[in-house]
Amino acid sequence: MSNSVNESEFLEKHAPLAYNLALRLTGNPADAEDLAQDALLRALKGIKEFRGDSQAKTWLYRIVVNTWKNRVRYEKRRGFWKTVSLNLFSGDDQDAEPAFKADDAPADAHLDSDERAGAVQKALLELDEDSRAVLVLRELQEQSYDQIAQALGVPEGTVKSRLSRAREALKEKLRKFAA
Amino acid sequence: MDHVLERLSEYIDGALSEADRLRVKSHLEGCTACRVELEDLKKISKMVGELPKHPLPVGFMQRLERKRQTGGEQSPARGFLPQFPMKTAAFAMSGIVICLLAFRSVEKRILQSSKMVVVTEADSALASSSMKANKGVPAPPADFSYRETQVQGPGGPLAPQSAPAPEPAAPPASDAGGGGGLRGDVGGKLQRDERSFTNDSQQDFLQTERKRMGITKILPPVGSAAMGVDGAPAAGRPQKAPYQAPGYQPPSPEGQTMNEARDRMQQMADDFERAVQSRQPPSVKIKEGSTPDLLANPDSAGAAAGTPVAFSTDSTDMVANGEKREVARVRGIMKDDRPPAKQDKNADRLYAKEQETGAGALASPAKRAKAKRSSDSPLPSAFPEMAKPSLLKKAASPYGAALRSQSDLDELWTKMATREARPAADFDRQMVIVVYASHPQDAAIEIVSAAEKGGKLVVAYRVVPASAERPHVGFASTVVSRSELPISYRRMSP
Repeated sequence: MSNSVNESEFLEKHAPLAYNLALRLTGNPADAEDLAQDALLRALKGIKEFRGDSQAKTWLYRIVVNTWKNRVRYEKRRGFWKTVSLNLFSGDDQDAEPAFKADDAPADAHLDSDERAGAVQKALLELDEDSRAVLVLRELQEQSYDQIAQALGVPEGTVKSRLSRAREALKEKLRKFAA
Repeated sequence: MDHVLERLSEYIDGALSEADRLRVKSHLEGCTACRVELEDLKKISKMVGELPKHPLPVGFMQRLERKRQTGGEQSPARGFLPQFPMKTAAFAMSGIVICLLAFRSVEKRILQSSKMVVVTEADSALASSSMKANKGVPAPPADFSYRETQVQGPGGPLAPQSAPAPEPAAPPASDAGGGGGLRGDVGGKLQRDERSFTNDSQQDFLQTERKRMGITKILPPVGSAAMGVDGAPAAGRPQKAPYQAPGYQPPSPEGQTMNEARDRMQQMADDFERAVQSRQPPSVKIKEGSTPDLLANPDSAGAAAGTPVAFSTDSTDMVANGEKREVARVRGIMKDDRPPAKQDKNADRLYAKEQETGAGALASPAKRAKAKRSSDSPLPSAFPEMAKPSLLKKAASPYGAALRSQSDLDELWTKMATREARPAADFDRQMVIVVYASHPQDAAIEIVSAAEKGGKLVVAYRVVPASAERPHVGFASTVVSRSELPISYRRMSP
């Protein structure tokens, strides 16, 4: 089987997974598409070196999460330097924060028509990156603790504690829905 | 009862060992609080798990392929800052370079300052010989006498030393009772000065060093037939009993030639001493064991030891006088055993200038007025334009700008350096919305709508693939009805 076929199969099977993970991490379809495409391109570059010692899904999720975290760090730096260099911030637009903030997830209204789903997504975006990643991988992508540990590059014990904290935090944010 | 709240998350996921699972289960049967918590966690887990999965957007694969063909993913590592690890390396290198430059600068200064040394007695003697030839050495005053006295070192009185002089390393005098040649009473450490001086500059330097080290006397080698005890020609001068250092052993006859050389050097040193003292006013008589007064003007000859004496080391017409308008340069007042304080030449100069003008020569009236204007004004007068706040400060955000005047529009167009035509608007009833949020190079911004919602003017936009109709220009603009509401920018899905 040629590489091109393998790559096509890989993309066909895993692109939706990457996109949905990116979607829940960013909360924004446009950003999710950029993120998923970048992660898939990186995966295609490294697919020859993929040893298959973990599931391809887990391996791809790791790429998506790492790419996402790099973008978050970049946006934070970029936002800081843009403030310093341009000094053009307006007091009028309090919601136009850098893209990774929850308030600037403009597509939420179109992302999930269900009010409760929209609230859950918004609450997810209010969590810190580590909590959000571990929760999405566990609840949405149905990864095991071991797989999550591989995807995030942390020990399994860290996954357990992060997941416990993430659920508690999300519960507080969604108390009215959980009641 | 110990609650099991921290184990509930794992319990939900079935990640506990069998023993732990049974333990938690047993606890839950008897603990309402933990059961409630468990139910809440299950609901949260279910809510997140039920978030809908979305299909790939239309054209996702085509755009992915296009990205792949154009060179791969768009790395977020854009911008003017290098990325890790290059960033770390760059900052580390710049820090190292800065430290090296600072170290070299400091090292250079230290080396320059550390070259200050005191001319040795031998060197000063050698120098004085040429000086003597040039200037002539007056005879010392009649009451000038060599006495053994305490020599002030930098840290206070020094005990008389009986060891031979440190420089040069000549053996002690051959005659009995000789002192240690160039007496070690000098104290301190004498180092060879490597600099070259003119006679005048050397004199000044030696004088400064003597004062700094608290050297007031240099005793000659006693027992010298050529010079006598006090260094003056033997004839016509009172002979004093030679000082005999305790434990001194006269040299053997073989050291005679060395003694002669030492005698000559001592004579030169004495000549130099007299020449130095001739530039100062005559000294007061020094009592045995007391702190010597400064060798000041003759009027103070009767002053008791320890009386503060204001003296001038410059020309005699520079006398402190309240009536005269001449400058008083008080170099120091010796009231105790410590050596004179280090001179602050700048302070002297400024003080002198102050006295001359009588009104503060440091700032002319014009300068003072200007300084006052500067201190009163909140703005630097040289940069009036900087006082004006940026017009865009109130209008712009990282995503877009609401331009409510022609000047705002012009300013933003200038800043964006775009060739696009400026939209025409009647700013009395309209305003221009410009959206320039970040987007890929192969995309364009499309403003979808601008509507009031929730007390804000919500500007909805989306990023679409660039096309002939909508090329990539970096921004999009539209003219809308004028509104004073705060602007909120919302990005829509394509």
